[in-house]
Amino acid sequence: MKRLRLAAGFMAMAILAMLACLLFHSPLMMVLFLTIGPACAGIAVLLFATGLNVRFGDRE
Amino acid sequence: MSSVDTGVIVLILSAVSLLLLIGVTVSMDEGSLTPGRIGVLFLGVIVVPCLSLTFGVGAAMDEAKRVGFCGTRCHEMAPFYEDLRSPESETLAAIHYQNRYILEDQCYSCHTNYTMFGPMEAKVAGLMHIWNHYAGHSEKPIKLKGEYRIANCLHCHGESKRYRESHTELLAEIENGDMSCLICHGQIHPQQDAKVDQ
Repeated sequence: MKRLRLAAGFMAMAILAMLACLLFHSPLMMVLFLTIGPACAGIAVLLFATGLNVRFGDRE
Repeated sequence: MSSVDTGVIVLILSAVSLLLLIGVTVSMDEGSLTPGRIGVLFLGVIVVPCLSLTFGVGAAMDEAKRVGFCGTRCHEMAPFYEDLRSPESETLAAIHYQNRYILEDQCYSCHTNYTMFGPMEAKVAGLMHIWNHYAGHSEKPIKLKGEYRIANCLHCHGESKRYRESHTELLAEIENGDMSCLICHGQIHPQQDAKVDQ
């Protein structure tokens, strides 16, 4: 459950970075969004998958 | 779909995403995760936020194409932006901008190569410009990296009747890349002060 909350937190961070970029129209914010956004979203997906104990590949 | 519509969609999706994320986080408990609850979690934590981020990247890219973004957000570009809008200016860029030969996104239209990876190369170059600015590596006069591709001019002018009729003797040379449009067609942008910007 802790990982799922962390996943939600990271995804919220990505959304906030995007909103900052779109509201301020600043090149620096754009760079931060384009770097932090995908990184946070990727970490969130990983945390979500591991938090649910999703297993990839053959279980044997 | 216009970028304004995209912006509104992004804002709505972002608001929905943040509400879902807060709702999902608050309602999480240590109880068993039923398939239904996993579905709601997946929708709230992954699907809707990722959709919002996808639209957001598109809106951010659209915004970065605008002349105002280039001219008013980057200090190095201010003289070029002022020249574009100056009624007295006779530079090639100003003529194109003021007569709306290019309808919108004029900086982007001329400075992005019309190749498969042209837009991506332009974005990477833009990121490097920002890095150079904040790292204190920006110098005046600023220079175009590499040579300007005449193919970018020909993308619009190449099939124009007026261009073809007035350049009959030079057509082959220009299209082969042996002759540059910039040789005859004057000053493209205003002269810059030759000082280091620190």
